[in-house]
Amino acid sequence: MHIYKFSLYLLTLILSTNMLVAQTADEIINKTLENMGGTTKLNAIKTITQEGKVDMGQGREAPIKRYIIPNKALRNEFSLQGQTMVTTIEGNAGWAIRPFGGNKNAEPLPEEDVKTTQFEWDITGGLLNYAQNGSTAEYLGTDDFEGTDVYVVRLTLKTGQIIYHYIDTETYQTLKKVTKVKLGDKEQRNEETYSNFEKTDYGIVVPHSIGEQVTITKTLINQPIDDNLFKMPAKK
Amino acid sequence: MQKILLLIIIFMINNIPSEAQNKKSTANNTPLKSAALSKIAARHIGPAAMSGRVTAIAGVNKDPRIMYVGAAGGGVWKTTTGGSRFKPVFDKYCQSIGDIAIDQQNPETVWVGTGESNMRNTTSVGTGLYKTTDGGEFWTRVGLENTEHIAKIAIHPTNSNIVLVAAPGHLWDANEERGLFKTTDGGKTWKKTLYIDKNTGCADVLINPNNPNIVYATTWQFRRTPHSFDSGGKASALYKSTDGGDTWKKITNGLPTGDLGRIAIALAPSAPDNMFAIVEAKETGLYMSTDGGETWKAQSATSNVTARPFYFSTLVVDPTDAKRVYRPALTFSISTDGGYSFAEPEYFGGGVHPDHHALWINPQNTSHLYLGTDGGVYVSFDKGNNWILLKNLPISQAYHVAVDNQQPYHVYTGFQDNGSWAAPSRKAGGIRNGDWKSLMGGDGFWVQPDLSNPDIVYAEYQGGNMSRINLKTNEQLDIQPYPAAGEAKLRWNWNTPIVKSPSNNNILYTGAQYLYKTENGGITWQKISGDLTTDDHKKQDQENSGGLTEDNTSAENHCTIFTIAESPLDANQIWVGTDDGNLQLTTNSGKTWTNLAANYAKCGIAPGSWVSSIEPSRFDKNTVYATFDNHAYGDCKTYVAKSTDLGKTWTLFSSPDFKSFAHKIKEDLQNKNLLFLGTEMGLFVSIDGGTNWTVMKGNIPEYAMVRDITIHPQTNDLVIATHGRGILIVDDITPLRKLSSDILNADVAFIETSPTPSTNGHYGWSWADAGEFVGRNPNENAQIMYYLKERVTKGDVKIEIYDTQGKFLYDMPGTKRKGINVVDWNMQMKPPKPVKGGSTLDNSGFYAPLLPPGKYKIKLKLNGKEYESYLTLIKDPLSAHNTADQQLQQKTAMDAYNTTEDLAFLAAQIVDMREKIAQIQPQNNNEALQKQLQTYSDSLNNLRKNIMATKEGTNVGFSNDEKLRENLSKIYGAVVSYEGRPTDSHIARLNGLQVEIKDAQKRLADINNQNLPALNEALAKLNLPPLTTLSKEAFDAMKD
Repeated sequence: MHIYKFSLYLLTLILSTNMLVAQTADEIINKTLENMGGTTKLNAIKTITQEGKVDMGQGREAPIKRYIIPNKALRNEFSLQGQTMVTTIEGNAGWAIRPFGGNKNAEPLPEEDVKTTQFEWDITGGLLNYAQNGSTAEYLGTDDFEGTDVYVVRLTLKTGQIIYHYIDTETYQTLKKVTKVKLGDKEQRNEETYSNFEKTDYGIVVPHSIGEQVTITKTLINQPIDDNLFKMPAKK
Repeated sequence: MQKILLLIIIFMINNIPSEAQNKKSTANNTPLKSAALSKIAARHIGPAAMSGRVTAIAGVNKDPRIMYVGAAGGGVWKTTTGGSRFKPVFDKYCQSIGDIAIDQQNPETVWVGTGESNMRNTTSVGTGLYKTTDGGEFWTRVGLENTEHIAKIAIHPTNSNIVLVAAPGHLWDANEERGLFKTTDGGKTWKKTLYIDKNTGCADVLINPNNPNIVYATTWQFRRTPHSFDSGGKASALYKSTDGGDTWKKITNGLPTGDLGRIAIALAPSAPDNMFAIVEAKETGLYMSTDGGETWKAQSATSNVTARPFYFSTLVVDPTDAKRVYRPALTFSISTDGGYSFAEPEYFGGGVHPDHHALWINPQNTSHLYLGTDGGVYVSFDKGNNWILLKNLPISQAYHVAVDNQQPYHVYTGFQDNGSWAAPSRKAGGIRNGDWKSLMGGDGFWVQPDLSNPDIVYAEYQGGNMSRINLKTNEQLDIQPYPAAGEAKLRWNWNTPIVKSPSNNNILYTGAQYLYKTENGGITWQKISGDLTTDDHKKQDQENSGGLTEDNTSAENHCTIFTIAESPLDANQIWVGTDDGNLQLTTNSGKTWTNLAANYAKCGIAPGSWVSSIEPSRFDKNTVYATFDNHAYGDCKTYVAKSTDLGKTWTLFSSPDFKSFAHKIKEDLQNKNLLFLGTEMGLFVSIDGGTNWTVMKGNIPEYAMVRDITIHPQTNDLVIATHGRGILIVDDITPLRKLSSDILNADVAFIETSPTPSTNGHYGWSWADAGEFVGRNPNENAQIMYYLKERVTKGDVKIEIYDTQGKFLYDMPGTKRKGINVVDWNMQMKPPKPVKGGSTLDNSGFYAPLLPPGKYKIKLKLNGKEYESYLTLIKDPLSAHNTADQQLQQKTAMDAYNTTEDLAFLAAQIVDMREKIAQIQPQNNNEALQKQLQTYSDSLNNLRKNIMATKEGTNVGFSNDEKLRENLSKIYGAVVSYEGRPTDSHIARLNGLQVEIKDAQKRLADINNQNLPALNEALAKLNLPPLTTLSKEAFDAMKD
């Protein structure tokens, strides 16, 4: 009786540990995409429109807006004291308006900023269709993120850029992303954390907290977006 | 399928009656996990002034700006800028680095072998071989876990999967995992291809770059004991392989006969048949070969080339010039004639720190060198003739640390190879290299400040050479006790204890084999014991230590006193621990002594263990803690124990997370259940009196070599001496004292923090200049601390702050991590509504006056629930301002604040009206109305341009467009940012600006009166709604 019970416990242990460790990069990525809403829904996204705010401390908030045409164009707006900073990319070029110092004209965006901003126009962080896109994925093992167990998956894009996903082992949500992009001489490394995952009406799940200060209040999928939003305005 | 199987099994198990279920269930206690403590984090204060001991340097041949530096106790540091900035990339792993090798074909792949192999007495222990394939972002251990030391890694020049590793193996005992290891599959599997016996490992390995089938390796027989070092034996030899390191043949032709010791080898990359070797033997010598190592010839060389071969094994030939040979050792020697003669470009002391262990030459520019020494990394641009020290690697190896009672307190510490130093624990702008003050040279260990006189400190260099130092007059008095007439030679430990009485600042203790006490600064020492050691004569033969090469630097002194502790509760109770296992106690100030060594052995501690620390409790006279270190006999177990009957019986603490031998046990000053443990691999904390232990790794390397711990009695800072990362400080551990199982078991619980001075801070921090390390200051914000049993996955976490009257002030986002969360609060009011409508931002919108001292309610909202607590702000004790001044400041600040909001309202009215006008303008074609509207808008715009800067363009910052808003913002800033009284000029100016604002308000009223009535009449006629001015209520309700 004892032996029987013991080996059952042992078997359970083996099987349950297996379920934590089993994974290949593919398995983890598939589960993550599934939890995000599934590849069908994700592939059918044509536009993303988001609104939100940045906590500036002591009760002050700065409204933000974001317009995304997945993998094609992105526009970020950030407003302070009624003035709006705009950062836009379309393809491999971009422009920005940085009004706070008094300059209201749009200036072209340096290549470095274009490349790092491009990470944002794929809300799956490179996971969706990664193989078809020429990216390779590698499972690096488990790690700890703020007390939570995560899987670490490294995506190497065709362009050489690297994205690390720290994926919650229980919920299969990306809690942190580290992006690395080499620009000539320099390597630019960025980190971003995610929480407060919400299901949109459309049916995909997006994080509504980014870092510790950014809150997204609205995410709309497939709303029409005026193309002109991405075009660099003429000088004043 | 797995899920179903699991469910079936769970079902079955639940239906089998179990013994376990019948037992009484233990309390459901949530253990304290390491990750939960991450926010109880340390700041690093360095120093990097003299840096620390470097054991490996590897650079990327294709891009020499990328380099990895390995430290003896400080892990691996990476630079991508040729050394102007470094960042640690190995902090989750063993900090003792043996070698680093970069796969030059794929430079993102780097191999790190842990376990420094410069086999000094204090050398640490490695945990194997590690590999990264993304430039250090992630590492995996790939093998050789029990080698403890790795000396060299060689990667095949064209096949990255082939790597050879020379592992000397254990230093203190015999073991089989040593020798030459080879992988052909990138590290997945390993074969030991050259192995002699369990006392002999491999010290070097070299691959011929032109013909990688030719490989060289050297075997080394060596052993260290606590009292001696033996380098050399029959098994040491030079070997050559011609099949890539699978099989080997011994090379002896031309090399010395008899026992050999450590052999270092090098070849000329431009002419690989030319080889060099430093062979430790009865007569250590330099040997050269011109036939690829088949035959050798002795070459005469100076002692700079051949000294201390067990410790200096670096020999490098210039990549392009086969005649240029570098021998970085005690000093830096260069040969330009192929090894026939060596010269030193710089005399000792004028150039680089002595003791060299690594050299990397930029193959693209062979004048460009990086040298790893016991005092940091140096760079040369002229082939080693002149050097610059990189002052940004805080890798000093501290032994002990003490603190004083100055304001702010200073830390005092001694470093291996780098003397004794003192530094402030905080300094405006950060603790810079220049803030570290050098007290004494040599190897530093214990330093004690005189608490009654900040000019006096006690420090030492190795072997008991202690001095009293007057920092003001720069005098040093040697106060080392000497043997009296007829007395035996005194045996001083390498790391001689100099310890203060906890209750009497005038009493100092030190120990050789006897315990000494002084009450007058070392002028008179009383011997208050007999020989407290085992006095084992077999272990006192240091003159003959070294094996083949005599090496007696006091590092091997044995049968000495190592640790001394007087009870804080009873000055007559003094404990002494020796390096040879004795644990001695007196309860009558030294009249009689009892050796309790037999007692600790009964609880599972190896008898004869080195007693590394003793901590008599400050809560109970009969309670004492101690750590024992037996690594010098090959036993790295963590021995820490407690006695509650004055040492008669002991209980051994244990933890599955303990990794290596213990150096220091520290009891908290206020919470008797709070204990800290410093080990060779990690800092640990227990909140339950030692039953459970947790690694503290909040900004502390997980495997930090923690040698000493002290707690400051006023600030409650935990001050840590690490042997490779300098001094670390965890500020104010009061919250740790409050951590209990009640808190850990709660879903959500606040942790009380100390009352915080309401101030904008006195210390701040500046960015380090490239090339310079700057130590951080403590966080001066108020901290809201709470514990979450689970990470918050749904919804936000909000913290609401209420003022001292209970009125809601504002909220801020809280963090969501599992475990302890710490959210900073800058104690400021909500900033005034900014004056909008100018070309630039109104700076006044970004900061606000400080909130006054008092009790502030805070609410934590998450998961649909609410939790309340309080934060207490107190008057800043460091404030230089009297009450009257502070009150004037507060009054003027609020005045400026309200004035800003007045101007903001004025501006908002103008902006609002112009926007409304702009909305109406396109809605009609009436010419007359359009004219009226434009006139009105223009008048408003002129007023706007009058009261704020409106110039646009790229050079606005230099255009000096200063109007009312900018002038007010300047005064607001000046008054609000200073915590004392404003100047008379500030007050007068503010009054003046208020008059100007009144003026502007009148002008606005006039413009409105002149335009609005007629306009609204005209609008009514056209059935358009009237223009209304922005009300105060509407303005107040606006979010900025």
